[in-house]
Amino acid sequence: MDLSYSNINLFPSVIHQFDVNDFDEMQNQLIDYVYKMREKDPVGNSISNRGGWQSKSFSVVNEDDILHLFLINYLSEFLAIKKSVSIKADAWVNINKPGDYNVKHNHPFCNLAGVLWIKCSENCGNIEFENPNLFQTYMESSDIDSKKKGEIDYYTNDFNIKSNIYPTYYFNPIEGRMIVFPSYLYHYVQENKSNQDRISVSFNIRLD
Amino acid sequence: MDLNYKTVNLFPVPVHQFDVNGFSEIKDKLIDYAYDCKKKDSKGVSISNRGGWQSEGFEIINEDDILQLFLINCLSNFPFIKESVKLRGYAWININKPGDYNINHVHPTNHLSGVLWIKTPKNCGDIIFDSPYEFQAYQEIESYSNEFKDSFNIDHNYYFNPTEGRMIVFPAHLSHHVQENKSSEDRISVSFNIRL
Repeated sequence: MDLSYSNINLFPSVIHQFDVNDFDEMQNQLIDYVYKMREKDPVGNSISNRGGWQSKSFSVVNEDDILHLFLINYLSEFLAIKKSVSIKADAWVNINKPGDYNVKHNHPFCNLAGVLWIKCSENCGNIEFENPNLFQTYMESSDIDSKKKGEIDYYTNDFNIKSNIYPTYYFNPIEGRMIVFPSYLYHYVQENKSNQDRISVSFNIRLD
Repeated sequence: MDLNYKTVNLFPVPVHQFDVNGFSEIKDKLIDYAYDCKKKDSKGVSISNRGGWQSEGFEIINEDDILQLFLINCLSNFPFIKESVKLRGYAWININKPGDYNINHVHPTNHLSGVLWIKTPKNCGDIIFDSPYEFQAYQEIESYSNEFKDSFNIDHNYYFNPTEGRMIVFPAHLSHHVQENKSSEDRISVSFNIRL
């Protein structure tokens, strides 16, 4: 039979990725800023963090504050969002020591969430997102190799790779990179297996 | 601030679209086949169809049957299913008269579902898929620019205009409905479920 085939991928979960050039000029100032925050409030918050220190959350509004301004500048470049929509962000700082991690969670009561990576050495822990359709599309794998890789079993590997269809998808943290993702998307941060602190700033965004 | 921006689009819902070249050669035979089926069982079954006639389901196995052979030939050309995976299909015929439609539904206990459009006059009713994230992502979707949404097929729903000789296959969990047939002629299609 003479067939033409095409594939249309609907309703993806979009991860927005921003990379700031010349981040190293700013990095040490932000690291100092974070450790000073922890000195002022060494207990911090305990939510998804296991072992790690998490600051109290704060509204991102103060242009005189180095971290606020940095985030404001990032988010002002969010061109996918209509100009008529206001972006309100609440942020908090995370310091995961070696051995610390974050359990699986999502971010209710907001529309988008994100993270800016400030200090991340090798093996300090990827952020890993879960496929929200995994339950509905699961098929028992007959292939041990597939189980190890965790592929959706009935599509070919080429198709899954081309379409970003996996049970989970991880991002390796990169200093100066910020990702913004739908707040319904479950995710976790792997254990920090480096010998240095992993420092990041997380935030929630409400769109009005 | 000097920024580089890109998106990574994760976990989409893939819809597979097949267009049969030379469909007009077989179309009339399939139309006759559908009406013959209706003659033999004028009551049919009632599931998501409102007003329309729907045949009993049948397994797609008989290569001596014109419709089943057509579906077998289409599905045997499914390019991205692993060779080790077997497809078992169950199909049924739909005839939506003017004014008929299908309410929102999913196809539980199956992996994939699909439809082959046989006769589709203008305005006979699009098939509309709902975003699985309609509730969770409502405000996110509303906030994206139209250009951004169009680029990545992000919206509250997505419709396909039925085209004769076209078959689409989609995940069985994806909620969808068929709009009212606003033409003056019957809308004829074959739906099917696939277990892998």
